[in-house]
Amino acid sequence: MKQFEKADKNVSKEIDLVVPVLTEMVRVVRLTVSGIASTIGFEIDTIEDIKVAVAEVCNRIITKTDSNAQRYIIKCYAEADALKIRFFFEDQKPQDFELFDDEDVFGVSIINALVDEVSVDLSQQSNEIIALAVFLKESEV
Amino acid sequence: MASNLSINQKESDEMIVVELSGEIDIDTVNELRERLYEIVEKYPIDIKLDCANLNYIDSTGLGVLVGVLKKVKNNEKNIYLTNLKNTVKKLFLITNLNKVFIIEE
Repeated sequence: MKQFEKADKNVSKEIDLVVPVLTEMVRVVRLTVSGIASTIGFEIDTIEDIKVAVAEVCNRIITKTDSNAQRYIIKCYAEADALKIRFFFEDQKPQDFELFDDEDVFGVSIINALVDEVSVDLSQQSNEIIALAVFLKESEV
Repeated sequence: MASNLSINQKESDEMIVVELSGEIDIDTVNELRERLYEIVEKYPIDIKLDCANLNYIDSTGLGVLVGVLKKVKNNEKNIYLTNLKNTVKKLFLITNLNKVFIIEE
């Protein structure tokens, strides 16, 4: 049927998740991000790495966010050769917010080891928290 | 939401074997902490963690295992990890915890 034919649309492949600040939702995020990564063509080991890194960020957001926070936002950009994932507060970033502290050694090591790029937004004006990027390897293209 | 972690223990004279199945994450880690601390209190002997069916662990889970190891070491005993899946073992390598725990191949 014509309406189901692939249209050559120039549509951004951005998928936004609005996630409740609840521990049980991290599993949902892991599964969803794995699904998005698989559509780009990452190998299963890379998908596993992405899943682990994203969950570590979610853990930090949950533990570091004040109890009034309801939700946070994850924007996944499925590009031809990369998956870029940006995390945001739904509202203004809390004053003096730090995603990582000295006690987060394991989490920081894991995130840095498993993704290609990590950038933490320290600006108080922006509500972005952190951005991760993973690029397709030659074997995955 | 049902817990995605199952913890079963088998006792012997010399060692207690704890089978971990499912996923250890920020949602299930309290259950892990409570059970392992209970076991350490009750049985001051070596502990073997059988991870054959453990599919996932995060930094919160690793942190709990380190805490449990400290308690076990206070009793001059040790924790042995066995049957780790590659995805789980990778996190022990990244965090250098492979040098802290005894990982059996």
